[in-house]
Amino acid sequence: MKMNKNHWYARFLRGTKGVFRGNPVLGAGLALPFVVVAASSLQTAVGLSIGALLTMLPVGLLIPLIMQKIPEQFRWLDYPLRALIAALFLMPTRVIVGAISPALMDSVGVYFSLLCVSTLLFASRAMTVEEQRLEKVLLELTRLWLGLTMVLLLVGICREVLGNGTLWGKPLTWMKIRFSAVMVSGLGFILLGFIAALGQKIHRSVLFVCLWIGKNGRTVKDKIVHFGERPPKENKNKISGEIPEETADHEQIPEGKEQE
Amino acid sequence: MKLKLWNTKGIILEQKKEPALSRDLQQFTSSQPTAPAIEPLAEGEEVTLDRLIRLSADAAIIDERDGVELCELLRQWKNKKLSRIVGDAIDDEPYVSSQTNPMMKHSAEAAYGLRLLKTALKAEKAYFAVYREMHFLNCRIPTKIEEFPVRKMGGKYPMEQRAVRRLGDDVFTVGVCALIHLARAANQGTVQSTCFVTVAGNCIGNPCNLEVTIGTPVSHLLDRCGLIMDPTSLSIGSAMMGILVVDQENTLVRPNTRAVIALKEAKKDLRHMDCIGCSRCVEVCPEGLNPMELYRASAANRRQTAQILGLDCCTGCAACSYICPSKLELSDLIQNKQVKWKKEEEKSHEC
Amino acid sequence: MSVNERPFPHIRSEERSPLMMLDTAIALIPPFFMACFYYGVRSLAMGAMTITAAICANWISSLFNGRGIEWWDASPVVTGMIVALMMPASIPFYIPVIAAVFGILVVKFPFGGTGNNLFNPAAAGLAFVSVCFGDQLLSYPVPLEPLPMTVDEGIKLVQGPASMLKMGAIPTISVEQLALGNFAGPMGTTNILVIAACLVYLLVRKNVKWYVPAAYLATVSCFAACIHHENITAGESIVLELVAGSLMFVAVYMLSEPVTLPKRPMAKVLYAVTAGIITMLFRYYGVAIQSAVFALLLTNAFSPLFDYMAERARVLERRAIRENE
Repeated sequence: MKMNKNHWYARFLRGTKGVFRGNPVLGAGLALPFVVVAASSLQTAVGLSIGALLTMLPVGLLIPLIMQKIPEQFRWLDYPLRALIAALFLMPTRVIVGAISPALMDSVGVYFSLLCVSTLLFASRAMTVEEQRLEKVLLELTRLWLGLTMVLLLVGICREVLGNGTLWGKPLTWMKIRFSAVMVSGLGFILLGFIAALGQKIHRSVLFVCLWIGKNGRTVKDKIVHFGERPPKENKNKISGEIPEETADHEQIPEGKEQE
Repeated sequence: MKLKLWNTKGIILEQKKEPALSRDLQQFTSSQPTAPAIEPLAEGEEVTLDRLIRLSADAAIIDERDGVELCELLRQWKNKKLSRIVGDAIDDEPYVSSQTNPMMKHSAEAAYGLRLLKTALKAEKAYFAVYREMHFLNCRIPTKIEEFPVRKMGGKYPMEQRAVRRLGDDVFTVGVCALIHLARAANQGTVQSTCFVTVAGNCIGNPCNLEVTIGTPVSHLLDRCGLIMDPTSLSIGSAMMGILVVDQENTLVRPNTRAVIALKEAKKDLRHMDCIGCSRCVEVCPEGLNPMELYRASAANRRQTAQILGLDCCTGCAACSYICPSKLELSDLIQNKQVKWKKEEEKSHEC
Repeated sequence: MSVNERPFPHIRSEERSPLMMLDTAIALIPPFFMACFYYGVRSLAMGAMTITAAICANWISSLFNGRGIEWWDASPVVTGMIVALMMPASIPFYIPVIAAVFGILVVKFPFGGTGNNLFNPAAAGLAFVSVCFGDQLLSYPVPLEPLPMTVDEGIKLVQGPASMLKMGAIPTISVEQLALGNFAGPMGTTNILVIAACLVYLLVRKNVKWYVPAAYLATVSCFAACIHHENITAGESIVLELVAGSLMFVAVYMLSEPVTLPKRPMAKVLYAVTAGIITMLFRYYGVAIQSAVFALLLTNAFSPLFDYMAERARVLERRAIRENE
């Protein structure tokens, strides 16, 4: 069975590690209060995601740079500094997010400052990458942020369409029934659960399709490669329909021994 | 005095004892016993416990309830004080009447056996115990056999084990068939070579009680009584807790085989749905366990959980499987896991 | 001769679980007759639509479950009937359909389907619909005036006794009206005598243990006797509390749902008492929605705890016996 498509899919998942496979909200349960309670419409979801970016980026940018310059004795300043920088950038974030969606500020109110705690966790997770190199940290941060945005947008759109019958404030004509219960946080959790289930279903369907495609190819005398591992390098000269290893074996048996 | 276990947990089973209970006890022996005759009790000989122990050991009498030898049982009571002796003729399982029927048909021998024990053990009282919840019988259970009263013990299934436990520590219970064989050994010096077996079930054409030579294959018994339908289950012992007979030619009758039951179960008794949590099994378990949780723990292979829930206390009475409306195999799985985990524990102890 | 190797025991009782669920469905048919008598054929149409929606939702979810469609499974029928009977007769048809579909697709299916639900699906569907369309659920039509199939603005809608009690007023219902169920309320919950007769049927068929509704109603009566309006006696207060809202209906049909009810008798009594206490607390201090249903949902969350406590007591008892021996 050819595992080419499976390897391709595994490589894709590895490349998008914070978005699909290691999604911070669905996989690790970070930033749950904001997704479940506060993301009640598309505007608030966009506002939240921008707010998260604005508090995450400075921490991710500045901490690796600073930590490289600080001597060994002061390495304990790492965590307090992270908290300080995240809180510092909270003020401009508040102004910008308030301009995008005032409804978010009304609903979340005083607890908006808790956003910096959630994003601090994101940034800390991004900085667990090997060697705190700037590019890698930023890449990880971007992936985590994309994952968070994806879930926020899904939840925001679902809740706004089902609950209010509007999209970004503009009413939809075909949506006549308003399920206003979707705004309640209990149903927010249920919605998140269903999105996670949908994600699992998509993952398994893609795996199934990859395996089905692989079955139609010819059998290859490779070792069995487990899902997620890098396959051994194929020799491109031998892709012509022959089975080269058998001929190699025959060649290796010395003629003298055969005659005996 | 009627003895009743009030408010017991358990199930009420329809005791389909007829027609086997009222029919005459018939002989189905293969040949004359070839064992050498032992020394019977002489006329006027004093009946002591040691003499009875020697007699029962020579005659190889086995108590039909659990297969323990009568001499072993008597030895346990050597230095103990006891107040009563009870001849156990309780048949609490449906179709089975292999203690009640011989008690009625060979009542003189049963009474003589009980008299011997009463004299030897110096007990104040002795009586026979019969199951009370037998209805729609064609014959009458006697209230007295010679000088011994016949007392009825009531309660829900499973009854026999619990009744023996509840009678108390100073009561000696012995099976009625062992009493009959003891009487024969004392009178005529015969070694026990037969046992009493009920052959019944809804597939048997001629259900009856038989006195059968020990070692007869089950197929001979079925030929004797006749099968009118193909049975779906052929079991030895009882319909509730018995052992399935897979090979009829090579399964032999033993002294503690109380019955051979051939049943045709309805197809609707197959498993339907998953557990719906109706909790009927919890109400019915006589040991007070929770068969639903035990089933889930056993199915998920959670050994510690199952042992905390009381897996070792399960007696395998199958009342939970009987009452389950989804027809789950509760008792089977719990018993299998009990045996399997006990074996594993013993193996680990050996190592 | 072939002998199947079925495990013991070889005799089984006559009960079967599909028939047990059908018993509950049969016990829900008399309230439908009464609803039809009071409100016309619309109530039967609503019932039929809700049951069909519930059955279809169950089929869809059992396709995903991997078990395949079980045709003998009567539990969505019971869910649909309960949801329909708890609605006012003049409500638009889509509301009970949404409630039933929500209950089965969101509350029953993700937890494992029939036999594995953590919460009562009918109660959860009613809760969802109460939050979404709350005011539509609290206005009832006047009984004995037949309703047309499509309800428009011309129908007179009144408040039920539960809302009146909540606001501190005393509903004026005469004894005959009480006995016959001739007052405004949800479709199937006003006829107390019919529900009591169905309770007797369920007790005889052993679907319901007697102490579960008895404990619930006793708790509610204690509360009602102690805390009531000054102008009415304790007895009148008890009767009014039992009659107002969906209390009797919940006590008979929804409290003894076999999957969510705890398994040990002591745990069942504790469960019923807790449900009673929470119902009365919701009635006194909560918002004016169906308090019995929400109280039942909350108590469902506690049911594994009660089971655990009862099991633990047994385990300790067995350990003590073993140590004494």
